[in-house]
Amino acid sequence: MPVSVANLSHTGMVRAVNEDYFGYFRIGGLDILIIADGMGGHRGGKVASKIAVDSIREYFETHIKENHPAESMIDESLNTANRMIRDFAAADPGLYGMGATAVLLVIRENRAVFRHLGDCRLYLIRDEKIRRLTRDHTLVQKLLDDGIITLAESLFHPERNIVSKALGGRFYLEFDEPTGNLELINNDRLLMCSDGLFDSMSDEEILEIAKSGDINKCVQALVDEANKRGGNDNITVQIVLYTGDKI
Amino acid sequence: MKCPKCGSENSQDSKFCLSCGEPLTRKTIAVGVIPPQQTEEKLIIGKNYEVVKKLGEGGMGVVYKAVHNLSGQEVAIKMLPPELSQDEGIRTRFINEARLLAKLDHPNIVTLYNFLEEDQKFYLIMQFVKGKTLEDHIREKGKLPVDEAVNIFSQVCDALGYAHELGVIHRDIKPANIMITPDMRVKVMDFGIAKLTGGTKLTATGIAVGTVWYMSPEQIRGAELDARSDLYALGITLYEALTGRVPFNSESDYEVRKSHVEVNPPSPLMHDSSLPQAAETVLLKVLSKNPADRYQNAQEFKKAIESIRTSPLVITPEYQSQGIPTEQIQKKSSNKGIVIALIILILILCGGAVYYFLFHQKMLAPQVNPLRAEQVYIPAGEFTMGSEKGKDDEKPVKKVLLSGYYIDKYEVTNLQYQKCVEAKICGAPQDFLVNKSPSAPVVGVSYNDAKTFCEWAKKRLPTEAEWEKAASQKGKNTEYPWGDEKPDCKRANFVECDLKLKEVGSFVSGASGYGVMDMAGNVAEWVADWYDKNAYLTMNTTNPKGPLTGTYRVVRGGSFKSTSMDLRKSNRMYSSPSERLMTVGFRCARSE
Repeated sequence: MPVSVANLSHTGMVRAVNEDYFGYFRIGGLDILIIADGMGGHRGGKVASKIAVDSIREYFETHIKENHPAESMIDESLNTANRMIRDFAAADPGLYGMGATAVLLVIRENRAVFRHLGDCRLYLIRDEKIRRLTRDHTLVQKLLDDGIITLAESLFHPERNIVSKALGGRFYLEFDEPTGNLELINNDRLLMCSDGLFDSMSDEEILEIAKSGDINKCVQALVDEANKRGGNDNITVQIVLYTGDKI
Repeated sequence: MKCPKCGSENSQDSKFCLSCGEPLTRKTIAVGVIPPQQTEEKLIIGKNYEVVKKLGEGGMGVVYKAVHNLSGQEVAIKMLPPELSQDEGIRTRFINEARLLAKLDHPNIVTLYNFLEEDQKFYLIMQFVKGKTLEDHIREKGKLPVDEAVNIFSQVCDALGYAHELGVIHRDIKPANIMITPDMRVKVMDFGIAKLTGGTKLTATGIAVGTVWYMSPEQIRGAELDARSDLYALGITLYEALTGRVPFNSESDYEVRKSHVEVNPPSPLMHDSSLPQAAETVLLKVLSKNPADRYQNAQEFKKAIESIRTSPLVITPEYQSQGIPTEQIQKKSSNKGIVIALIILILILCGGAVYYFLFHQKMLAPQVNPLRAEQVYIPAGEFTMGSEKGKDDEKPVKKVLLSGYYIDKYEVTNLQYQKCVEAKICGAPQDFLVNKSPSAPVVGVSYNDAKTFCEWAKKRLPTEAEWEKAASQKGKNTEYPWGDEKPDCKRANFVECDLKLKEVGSFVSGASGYGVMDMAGNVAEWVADWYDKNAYLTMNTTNPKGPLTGTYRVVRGGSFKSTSMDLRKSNRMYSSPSERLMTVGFRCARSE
């Protein structure tokens, strides 16, 4: 297999429930990875992230075609998940207002295609360096980009919790263009995570733990470290190790 | 349950009024968006408080009205969202803050009697206040007479001055948090609650509507807040009370935040030139970006507010009570009067005047009469509704028979809608930063607004089936109104074009087989039906009117932000009937 995957999700030390949900599926020659971080209401968050992962898996299972571009399947599957969450929320008052941030990654041969909504992130670890492939859809990120606040202000901003894009919100999903796209080379590591990880750790600290060694041990060490630092939120990590043609 | 808007009776569990679409659960204490009520058994909180009814529910938790079973005292009880009380950090902060709030004892502040923890849930036991919120009061009156506003706001200043001296910052001053009793006394509620409940992840769209309208620049930057931040928020509230609108409003909450930090507010006199000059001076000072340039405490602000009343330019109370027409409208009508008088004079001078006058009137009428929007007749007959290639909610495909009807050739324009606003029938559309040319389609109107307009124009909203038939090719089931060719920017305005709203009728080659324009792209359109994804399974195939009830209304046709997928004539979208969107307008229809 050119791709190996390790993943782990943990409730953290403060929250009562884990509203994160993740999936890794191999369907028709594609490796599909997703993390959804649910939000809203009493039980809505947990439900929304599960609907997101399940409906995306179902979409790929029923719609996968040999020569169909991964980009359009990603968009359609996210649209399906968006609609599904809205429909569930419309039908059950207890789920009113639920939603989920998400990152979705599809690997076909040596190409990684991805999209995200909200503050789930995707990182590339290559040559012992870490690079953020996604830019958070958050209020604070936007205020920072527009020069309204400084980096220091952004780190402790009381509204760090506000995301501008998510599944289950509006009936239009507005994606960043173009779709994220990356050619993989041997020994690349792709790391996707919910905000529970990077809220307590800098990118460099994540790199230190994740850059080498057995990926199963890496995900465990990342979760342990986030918990050691308070575990204020649910923590979910998936690491993909791309080993190219070596079988 | 009686609808507060139109008075019609609805079943007890209805979420929205079946006649006018108004949400039915909104009560005197407004706490953001209120989901449908659930019936519950007799609920006792803290051994003695018997819950009478649920007053509201939102991001800040549930609010109940309850009665103490020994003393008979009526209270409002706020239950914090359970997921918050399970968070250890939030728990500690809550207890510290609640202790401080319990110290507040002032005639203009809703008293916090007690707080308690039970079954891992936190409850705030508060004074129950009869009355309405300032938000509802402004909505009912449009805007407040100057003297009435001065009375209300100086009481709010008293409340804030008192709390600030005790070191308590409100943090969420807005019309919805200011209660007015029937004898016009003010009670400010929810002191510091915003601080208690912050911290859970929210979508920007999940934040209660309008929350950002009242935020101070320093709050947006995430800085420490002091008393002057509350004064800024109260300044915005006063601005709204006097002019009927907030100074910063835009298509996105984000733009509003940015404006608070970077843009100077427009003078309130621009909205209403009959306001005293002092109102401008006071409002622009309290809305300074830098807290040091504002009034430094509530007492100072109160004094300034009272100077508005004593200003010699104050208009008389008799005039105020009629609801103040804006200067612009007054000017227009007086001009019109003069013009008509002149015309009559000239015609009389010319002789044969009466005959000519009548004739002249006839000639002019169609141009100014908004009811004369061009309509297309769609003859009776069968058409194919839905699409096999579409999403699940477009199936099963059905042969549907419709009677003949007329439908507007174009979407309702800004000019046409404005006539209804001027007639004081329609509410003003939400203000978005989009093309507002008179012949651009009106947007920022809710389903309820659209319905009101069409009824005023002696028409109605088209049903979903009527809309889809008018968007089709005669006798053929094509993907798009013009046929099966993929959309391009000559046929339709969608996300691949320049993302700007266009005037109606700009896409002649995108016309449907019946010659109806703009059915794909530019703005999406409200139609009459409730949305149900399974509607086609059970629908009536002769003149279908959609489900009897629902939560969302159907939106059709895609907008300038839509992908080509959403431009398909069978594509179905939906939204809450009260939602005002930048991308959704409407057109009307009428039966033969």
